[in-house]
Amino acid sequence: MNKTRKISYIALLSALAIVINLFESAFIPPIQFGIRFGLANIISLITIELFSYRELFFVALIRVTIGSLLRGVIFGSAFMISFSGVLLSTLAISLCHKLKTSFIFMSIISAIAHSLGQVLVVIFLYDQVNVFVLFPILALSSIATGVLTGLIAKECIKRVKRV
Amino acid sequence: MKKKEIIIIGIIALLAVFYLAYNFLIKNQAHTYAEVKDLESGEVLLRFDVNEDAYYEFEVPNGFFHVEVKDGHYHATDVDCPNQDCVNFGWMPSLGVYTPIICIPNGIMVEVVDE
Repeated sequence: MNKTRKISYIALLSALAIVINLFESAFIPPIQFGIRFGLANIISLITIELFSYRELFFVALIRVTIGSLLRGVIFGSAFMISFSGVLLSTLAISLCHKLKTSFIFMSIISAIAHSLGQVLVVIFLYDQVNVFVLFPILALSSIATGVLTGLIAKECIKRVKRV
Repeated sequence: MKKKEIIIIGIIALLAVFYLAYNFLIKNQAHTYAEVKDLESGEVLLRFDVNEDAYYEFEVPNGFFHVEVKDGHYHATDVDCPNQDCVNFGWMPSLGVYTPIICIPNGIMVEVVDE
């Protein structure tokens, strides 16, 4: 794939991730205990399958920065929390990709890593250890949402790869 | 998924279930008091009785934050904040589970007190 094509793909994926992210935070409220579907993770999964971890980091960074900018929470604690969640899930996806794990497994692990990152930052930022109670609940739901986003991403990749 | 991966996911799920079971069935069953805290300073704004129906109001950076206590349950409601995440935490306890209710934009946390 040539350079221009690659850059436009990255821009397209980032834009999609931002839109999905905004759409979810506006129209799909958390079910309970702050459980979310994490639909933007679909884009991360597509990116790693089409490119490598370098492009994935690009897309993730753009998504968090511009996404927070659009929601008006940039550089506050809300930004740090979503940033750490995305960073950890990106690292998890990169690692799984390197170890050549199956696709659904990668999706589940990245969802779990995302909640772990968020919970850890809240604990360190505010020195509230009790918040860790949320993690097992989020981890359990991550297994379900991870399978869901993984399946959606898999179907998307089948169609995107033909382009 | 490969067999090994299913086992890893299974172990994670089991650990989470055990941790929750330990926390909510063995360690503490019912709580009498809960606290509303300021996240930035760690200061306790209010300690309330969970079994006493009430409606509390707090002034926060984005406006007001309300806690409603009813029939031994409490929740954040009518909160001035952009994402409403704290309201969507729902009633505590739900399914017998207490988690802290966190409102990042307003820097507020509501959690039960260990006796």
